[in-house]
Amino acid sequence: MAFLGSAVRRVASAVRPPLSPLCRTSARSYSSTPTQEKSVPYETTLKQEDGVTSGPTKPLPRSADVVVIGGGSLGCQTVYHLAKMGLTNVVLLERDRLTAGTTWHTAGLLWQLRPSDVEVELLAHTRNVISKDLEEETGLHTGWIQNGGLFIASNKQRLDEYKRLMSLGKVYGIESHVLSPAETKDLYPLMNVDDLYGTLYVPKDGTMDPAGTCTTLSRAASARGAKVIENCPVTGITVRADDLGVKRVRAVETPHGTIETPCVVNCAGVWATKLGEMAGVRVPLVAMHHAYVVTERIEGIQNMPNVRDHDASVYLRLQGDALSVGGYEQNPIFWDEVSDKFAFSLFDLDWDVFTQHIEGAINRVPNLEQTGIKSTVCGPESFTADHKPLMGEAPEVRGFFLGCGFNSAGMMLGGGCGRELAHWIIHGRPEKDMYGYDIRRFHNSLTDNKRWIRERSHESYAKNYSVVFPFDEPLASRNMRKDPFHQVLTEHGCVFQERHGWERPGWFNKDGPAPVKDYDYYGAYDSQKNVNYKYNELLGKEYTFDFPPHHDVIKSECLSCRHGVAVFDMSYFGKFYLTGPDAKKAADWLFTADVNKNPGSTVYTCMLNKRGGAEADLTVSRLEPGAAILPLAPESNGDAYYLAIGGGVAEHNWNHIRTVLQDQGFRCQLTDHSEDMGMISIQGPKSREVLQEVLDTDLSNESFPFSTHKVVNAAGHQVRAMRLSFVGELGWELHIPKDSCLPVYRAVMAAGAKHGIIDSGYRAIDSLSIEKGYRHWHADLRPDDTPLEAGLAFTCKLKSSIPFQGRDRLEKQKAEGLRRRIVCFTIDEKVPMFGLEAIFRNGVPVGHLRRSDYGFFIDKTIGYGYIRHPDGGVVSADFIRSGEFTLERMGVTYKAKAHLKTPFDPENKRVKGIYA
Amino acid sequence: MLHLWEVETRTGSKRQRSQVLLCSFCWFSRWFPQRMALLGRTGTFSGCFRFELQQCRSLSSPPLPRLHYPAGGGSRKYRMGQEAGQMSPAQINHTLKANEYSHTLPRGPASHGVLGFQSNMLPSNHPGEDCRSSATCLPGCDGVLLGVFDGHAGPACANTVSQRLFYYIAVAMLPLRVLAEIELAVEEERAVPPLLEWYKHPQDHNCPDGGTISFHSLRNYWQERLEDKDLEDEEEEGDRVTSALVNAFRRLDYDLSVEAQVYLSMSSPRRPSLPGEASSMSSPLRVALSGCTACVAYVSNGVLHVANLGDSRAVLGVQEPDGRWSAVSLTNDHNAQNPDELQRILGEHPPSECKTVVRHDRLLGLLLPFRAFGDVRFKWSAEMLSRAHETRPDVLSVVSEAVRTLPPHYLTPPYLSAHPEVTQHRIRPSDKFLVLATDGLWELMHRQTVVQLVGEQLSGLQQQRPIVPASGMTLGGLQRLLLERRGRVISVLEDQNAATHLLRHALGDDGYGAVAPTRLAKMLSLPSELARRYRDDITITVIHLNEPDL
Repeated sequence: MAFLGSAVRRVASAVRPPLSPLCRTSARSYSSTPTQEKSVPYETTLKQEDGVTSGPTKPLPRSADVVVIGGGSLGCQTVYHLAKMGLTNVVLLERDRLTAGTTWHTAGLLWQLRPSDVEVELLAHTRNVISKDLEEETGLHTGWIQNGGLFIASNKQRLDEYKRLMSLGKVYGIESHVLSPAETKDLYPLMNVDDLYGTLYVPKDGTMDPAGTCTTLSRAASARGAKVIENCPVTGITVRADDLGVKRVRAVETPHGTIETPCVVNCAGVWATKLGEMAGVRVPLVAMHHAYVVTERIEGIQNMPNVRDHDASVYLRLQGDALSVGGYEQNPIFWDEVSDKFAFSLFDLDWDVFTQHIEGAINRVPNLEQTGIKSTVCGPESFTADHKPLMGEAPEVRGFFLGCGFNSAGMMLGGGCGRELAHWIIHGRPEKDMYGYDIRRFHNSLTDNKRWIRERSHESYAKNYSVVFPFDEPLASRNMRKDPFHQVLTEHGCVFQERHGWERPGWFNKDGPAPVKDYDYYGAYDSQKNVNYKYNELLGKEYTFDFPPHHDVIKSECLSCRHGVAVFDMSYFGKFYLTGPDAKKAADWLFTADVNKNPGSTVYTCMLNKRGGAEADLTVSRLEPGAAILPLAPESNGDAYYLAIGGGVAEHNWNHIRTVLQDQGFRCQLTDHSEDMGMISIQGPKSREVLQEVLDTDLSNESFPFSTHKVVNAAGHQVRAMRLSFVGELGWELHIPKDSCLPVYRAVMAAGAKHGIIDSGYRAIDSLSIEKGYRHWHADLRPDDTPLEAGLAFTCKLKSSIPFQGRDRLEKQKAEGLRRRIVCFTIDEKVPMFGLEAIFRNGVPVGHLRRSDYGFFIDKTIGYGYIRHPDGGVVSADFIRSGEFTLERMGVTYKAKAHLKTPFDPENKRVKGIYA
Repeated sequence: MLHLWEVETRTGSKRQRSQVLLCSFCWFSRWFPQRMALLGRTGTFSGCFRFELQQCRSLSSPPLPRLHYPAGGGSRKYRMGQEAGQMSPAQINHTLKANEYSHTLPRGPASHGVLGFQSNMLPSNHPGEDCRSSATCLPGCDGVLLGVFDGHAGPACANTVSQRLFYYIAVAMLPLRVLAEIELAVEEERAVPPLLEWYKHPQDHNCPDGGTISFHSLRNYWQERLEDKDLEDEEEEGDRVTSALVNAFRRLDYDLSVEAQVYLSMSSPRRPSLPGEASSMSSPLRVALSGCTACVAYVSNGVLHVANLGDSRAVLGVQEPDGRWSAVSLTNDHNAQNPDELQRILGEHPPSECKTVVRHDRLLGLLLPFRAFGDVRFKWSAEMLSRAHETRPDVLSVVSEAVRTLPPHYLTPPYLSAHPEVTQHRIRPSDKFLVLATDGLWELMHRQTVVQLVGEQLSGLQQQRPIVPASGMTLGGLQRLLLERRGRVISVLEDQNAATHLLRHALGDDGYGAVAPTRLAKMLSLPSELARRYRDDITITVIHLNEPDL
């Protein structure tokens, strides 16, 4: 009888996994229906008028060096930069027409100042490309309008943040002015300035045109030989394992043929997740509705700068003689079922969600109250866990690159990121420090965790316009990775920080536990807001650019370590074993230092990229061969190494090592035991006395010297003890199998009680380590710094003849002299610094601080930054000695002392146990 | 065949005498005094009923009758509370929404005045014995059909009826010209145009037997209609629909009966049944021995017909000019609580049986509904039933031990009818929705409460619907409008689906009109053997007819 009926079946809502309270909002499915009407404020879009797709606009080549998928801002910029760098056998595939997904409706704002040196550089490049390079190359105007940008501050903290930006801008030659309310009124007569604290005016900011930019990029790329093919969807990615079992991209499949290629770039925007699935690559992003409305004409608005009112979470973009109003709301609508047929489409705007922006906009420009609405633009945008893009080679498949998840900044960051991506593809690594955008910044256990992606993306979206304070932590999706000490440290009042999914101790609050709770979406979507949330309150108290209220607590942790003994839980460290027949060869090639000392030695070393830039710093311990006693020792009948790596960058290190092993064809095993072991570090002058009671081995300098390790017995448990310090004191790390962690910790605390042992966290480590002059990777040591520039020449075996990756570049640099190098500065005024402060030598900007903190022992603010010679010459010791240095913080100049050696324990006596 | 005809003629003649057609708008207000907490439907039975427990377990709906719990029942509740404590809001929603289904009809003439419908089911029996159906009739008979079916003595009959009845209705309504075309197509083995477009939840039943038997029966039906031409075109539209509905119901019940007899005649005691054959859900005997009630709404050209058989109900939600909601029943229950129905039953049998036809409010002391599909135990002749007992004891025993014997005082069958009561109603602008639900809902909630809840939910949703600003509206004006709206919306409603909204309130009612999450969790986490005592299977379909007025 079935043939008499036709069934319409729907998937019931309950068939979907019950996700979160957000499921309720997704039930508002009416807003997910696309409206086909074109309502963007642009005169031209690239939509095909007939609406008929007639197959690819060009024949497909049989093979290509690179296939870029997605014809939005990123795809076009990437293919343009690839061609410009000389790779011409490249193809861009776009499913519909260029810009059809999200680029076509983007607001196209470009601000030059962001609280990150790398981002400032990326933005500067985008601005160069669209305002200058493209026009010179093609003779076409991209539609760039330089109408300036105006940031609004309604309170002191906000203006402080802008002043920080202004100081940073000076290093990069970006003109900016802090204006008073009255000056702002002169510049922008229609603005309400009654509630203003001040503004930051950047005259050379402006507005980009998406269609104009992408067409011009495509022209310029095609002129250099690249193929831009539209109307060609991708239906599959062929991935094959090579002889060594490494998965690599082989081809791109389309309905119109297959293109053989070793390299695919996923620039598919909100569709990037689906494209990733074709290759078994996880792309952790979510799609959300993001909207702006275009007003009717406003008299007197012409030529006004774009306005970003961070405190109201609203932007006002100049649109001819009208404004576009948009922002970041607390309750964005997720687009759960991303449709494949969504070219040049928009959603119906949910005014109830958008209403929060109207108030802010009317408050800022009161004339808007009487202004009508011309159209609404609500389209999909992709958002990520930390509001930063996803870039780089995917850990899962070699040759599969990401260029997606741009959090509605794809136009603005496109030029800079397109260039870095092209460099990444051609040379294996980007030119700048792109770790903040690198997919490797997320641990692999998180990138397919839907709850984590959703919660974090929500928080990042809602906080996008919040002031970026130095000690802020996320509240979304916490407690993803907890070490064995988590519970007991929570009871001790530990205020945790989140790194790489781990909860690591930040500092210890004196008045009771402050545990992290489940995410409450800040009360959005009618979720129950967390009440009496102590952890959140403690974070809130640090929302300042002055010294935090817990300054004294951190001081006492630091000084306890300097004068007595402190215990640090560093369990989040990455703990890898490198073994196998080629392990020695691999260790020689990977590490800058000679790690092939006697078994039992531990060496601090860097790992470099091909350009000599530091991809990592870590300690490598050479192990005795023998049977496995996991997790403390791997089985090995030859060379075996134990690698201990800062936990926040473990995934990056893991992938760096794996990639080098694969590229060099070394037969090695790399195994990860990070979660099988905890690690505590006991540091301070009294650490030996404490540990001598707990460990069954002689801890004297003679039998257990600095930079060595042993498997020993601690309170009846086997542990690996390692005499090392991240704080510049006498001390040992104990690497402990996870089940033994708590008994060993209790034994240490019991033995330490009479010496006043205390728990201490990473806030103290940050301060102690900068005081000692130890580097933090991704702060004062980055992939764009060589160890020579970073003052780490001692880690490089240049005196030996052993080759290692990057050695040639170091030798060249050594011969030519350093054109930039790290310098330590201290200031006498008691003001905090956080990095990004400008460095002036004799009144000329020569660099900026990368990292800064307060050194409690020397009782001064310390900062490290790389300086250049204004003439581009060699930066010699004399150049440093002979200069008068000042640091500019929020527009105020402070006299600074430059140090060639660390001001604390320059002779390295304390780590050797010599306390005068 | 003799027995078969005998049954048919006798049922036929009796039904004609007792036809009750409610062709004009009328409704009966009745109120069940049965919101006695957790005690099933009426709570009026006393301990003396217990001795019949075993006998009626299979045929009475509900199967476990109302035990009279002593006051000490509190300890039981406490135990359940512990088990229920672990159900999280997400789990509650998952359970409540597992069978959610909704469909919005495209605006325009093809919607027949129906905006859409929302439906949900919560089984209590394992497997659940309720079924639901929804479909649009394709060109020729033009209308929307929705129905709920409450099975008893197993789900077989309800499953079958829910899949077949709409085809019978379609055939009963289709013009002969169209039927002739279909017949020709079947004859020539051409593709037959579909008669119905179904709207099904993935969990809803599909035709279990591949449709062979049922297709032959259906074809017989339209062939007979084609032979019987002179009945055509005499009646007015409303009467035509009414008699088509009645005919379809009766014909399907007749076919179920015939199919079971054919099945029996082909069986013999010497041929043991194939393994699993007897227990197969679709075995015609199994279908005919179980039973089900039916409540079907047919909407076409702004006119609503409700055909009801048994004790499910259709209640219309009407919004008065002052905005308040009132409930209008479009059905009468066919059970002992309905005096007219009681009179009808008694009138169909000799006065000597007046003490035995209905005992303890049940037909022959066994069956609660007085009209139903299937249940041939109350329809076939005593000889026919005895023959069945001899021929296929295996099949009968699978259905139930109790079926082995004739019902007590089985003197003048048939006792049970499949003749529906049909109500006709022209939809007015104030008629906003129609609730079809099995007795599982009505025994927990009064119809006024039901209408109130759905009505308020609709208004709430309406207020939350996105607004499209009129042209010429300024940002300031829009902002004022949005703020005003926000003030009106009291809270975001947990359920978009009105049927789920009703389920949540029916199960979780704290006695003051709000949902108590702990109570809801308890009701949903009852172990299966207990669930049936506290709630029946519940099936609800809410049909939206007009947008509510704000």
